[in-house]
Amino acid sequence: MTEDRELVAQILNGDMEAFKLLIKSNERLVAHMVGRLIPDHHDREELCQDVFLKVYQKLSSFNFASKLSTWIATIAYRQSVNYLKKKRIPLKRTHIDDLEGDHKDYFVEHDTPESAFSSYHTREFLDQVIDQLPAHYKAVLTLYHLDEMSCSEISEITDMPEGTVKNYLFRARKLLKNELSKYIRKEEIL
Amino acid sequence: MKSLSDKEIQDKLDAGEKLAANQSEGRLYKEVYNHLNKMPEFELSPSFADSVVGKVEELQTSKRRSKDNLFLILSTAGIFLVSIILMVILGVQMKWNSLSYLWENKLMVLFGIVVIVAIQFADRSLVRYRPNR
Repeated sequence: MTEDRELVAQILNGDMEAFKLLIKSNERLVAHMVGRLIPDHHDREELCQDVFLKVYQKLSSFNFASKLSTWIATIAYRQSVNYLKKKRIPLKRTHIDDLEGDHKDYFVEHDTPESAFSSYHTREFLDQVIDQLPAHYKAVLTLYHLDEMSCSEISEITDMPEGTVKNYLFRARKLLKNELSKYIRKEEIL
Repeated sequence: MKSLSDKEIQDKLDAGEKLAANQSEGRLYKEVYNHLNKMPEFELSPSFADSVVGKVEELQTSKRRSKDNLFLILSTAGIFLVSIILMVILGVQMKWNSLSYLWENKLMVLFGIVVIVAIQFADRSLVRYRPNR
């Protein structure tokens, strides 16, 4: 926290090298969030830039009530949600049921179910299922698994009650497990 | 052996505990967890921080320019206002026909306006032009 304070003070004094340091230490966090939530590959980098521009503009209002990284993640989450709303991409859509029809594109021959588990196609399949999840599910999964944040931190970032965060996390992982199970069973039949 | 519920499996994996080898649901969950813990493919360009700093500096420059422009506009308006007030106080009588020379030399006035516009255009499109904007 003291380091955060020093860094913020330096940036507010106009030290651009300090701002670069802030970007470098938080760019993965922002890239994870934007990379998961934004479907258009071309807009991702620009949106990440917008997140850090917003961070720079709002830095003087940061009151150290939370960690700097939590605050930056909040901005990244809001910017991503705003982008989805602007592009009229539904936040709560899920086409998991529709995926059934697409399974055939991922079917490959495996000698044993074990080999299917570690296959490239299984990973591709899981990526596709994750892409179809509602934005809030994806945000919660990303913050928990990739950025190793606690449920209370995620609750602060997404402005959702902690119980909702836990519920989304549980449901999203169960859904992924069920889809993977269906996929592997179909693969075994083939 | 009693099979675990989804909640119990997730709690165990979150706590970093090991699951029994015969737990097929557990194996599926492990695969899901492994996948979720892997970095997504999207990565930012190596010059990302530099380009953000460049954008911030550009924003600061344009902010400064807007401030300068505002100062110029306010100064001009101020001078105009003070002139009017002084004219009223001093009782200066404006003779409008004194401006008739503008009409008489309208071609020269028009030429002057065109030159000023052309200089402004050249300044913006050639001197201050930035292709990345």
